[in-house]
Amino acid sequence: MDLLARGLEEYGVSLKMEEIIRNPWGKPSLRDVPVYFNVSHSARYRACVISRAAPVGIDIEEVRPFSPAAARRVCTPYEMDLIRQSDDANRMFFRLWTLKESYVKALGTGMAYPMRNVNFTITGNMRIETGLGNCRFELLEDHDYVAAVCRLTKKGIGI
Amino acid sequence: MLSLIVQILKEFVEFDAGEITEDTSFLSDLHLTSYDIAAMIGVLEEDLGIEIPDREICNLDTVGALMSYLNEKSIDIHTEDTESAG
Repeated sequence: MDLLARGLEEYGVSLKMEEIIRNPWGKPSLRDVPVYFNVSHSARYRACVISRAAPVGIDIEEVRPFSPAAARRVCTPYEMDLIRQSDDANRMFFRLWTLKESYVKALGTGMAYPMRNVNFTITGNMRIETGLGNCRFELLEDHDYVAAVCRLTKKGIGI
Repeated sequence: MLSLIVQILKEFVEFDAGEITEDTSFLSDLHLTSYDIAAMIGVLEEDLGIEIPDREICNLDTVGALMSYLNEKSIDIHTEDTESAG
């Protein structure tokens, strides 16, 4: 069974019985049930996040050589320094990318939201700090992959 | 402009260049990810010396839409250059 369908079953939702609608930027949601979800996939993994509380976003990426042009487009000057100073620049870039992507996916705007508007700080113990008061972030990593989850707080709904 | 887009796309996906038309969709036909699109737009910005606002990107969903947008932008740049030179 599909990862999302299996996850939603744990929330008492049968995906095949529900109507999926999309917002103007294409983010899918359940029309009649207040359960929020988001999915992402990369080369080897599929990832899914589900919440009853508020909209959520998730992104997973394989750590690989990143495009400097993409970094320049989406990172703040502070984040560009974080990448330059990191022992593993590719991993640091994809941490930042997945954090930003999870945020715009939680908002439901996708790429229409300027990713450079959000500045992320990743502390030594992997705490994520932003100037945003409307959400919480989590980073999950293994040797080859990085995933980020964004949960909007109630204050963040309706942006 | 099409050949420039095809050349940049080759960095992200494998395809037969002859299959790319103005109707080709970046998402549903070429299966580009958000990251691929950000990288492609970034490279185009650097190559052409332009800036493409984030709010415009969602409308640039096909090769043809991107070509029209870039052609318009290039005309604007050319006009500005001509005016400032004159």
